[in-house]
Amino acid sequence: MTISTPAAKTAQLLAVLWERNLPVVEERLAILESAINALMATGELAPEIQVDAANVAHKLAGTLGMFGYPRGTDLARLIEEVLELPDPLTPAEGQQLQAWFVELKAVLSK
Amino acid sequence: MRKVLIIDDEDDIREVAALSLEAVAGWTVVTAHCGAEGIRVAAAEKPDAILLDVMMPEMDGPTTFKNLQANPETSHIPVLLLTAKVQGVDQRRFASLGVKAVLFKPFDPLTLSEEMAAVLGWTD
Repeated sequence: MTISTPAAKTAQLLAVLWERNLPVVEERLAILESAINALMATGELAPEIQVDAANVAHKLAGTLGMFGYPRGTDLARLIEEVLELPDPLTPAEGQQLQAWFVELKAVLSK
Repeated sequence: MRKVLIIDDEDDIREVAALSLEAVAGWTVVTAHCGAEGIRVAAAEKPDAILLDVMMPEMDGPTTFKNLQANPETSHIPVLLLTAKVQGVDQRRFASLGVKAVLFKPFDPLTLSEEMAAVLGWTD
């Protein structure tokens, strides 16, 4: 296939990079899911797990949009902001995190 | 030909930014995966600009920038910070460091070079 423009070439290479980076994305999603599940199951989250989850949410927020998933960036950023709250998370915040996470996975599965 | 150094600890960001600047703008790109390596590469390669991530382990972007500024070999190189922090307080803090600009993640790979060129006054 002939690639006619730099933009087309970039788009094609981006798709390749996305496929190559999928395992990293999936690993980050797994860390988020584990933290949210722990929060929902026990009603609390160990501080180190919360920090790790906030970090991976930050990384997802910074990358998903450049691969064509702007809603993924928005959702990851919302999750990050809640995980960075200084006070212990409430059950309502846990439910909100779970809802955003479910939407995030749905967005990325399209 | 322009040469840009990308300093970021995340492989995917480095790869996409490098792809963007090389394929869209035709610039030469060199990369570093941490602040310490970035300082070494900057001194050795003398890039025309540096795209520097804010949040990195061990040496973060602002500390890396201060080290670059302290070295006469690299102090003249314009630095553009790259961050996923979008809150105003963070933006003001980063801008006050003396960097050329603060750019935000996620960037659009198709327009990143245009955005950089505009900030840097690169019209060629």
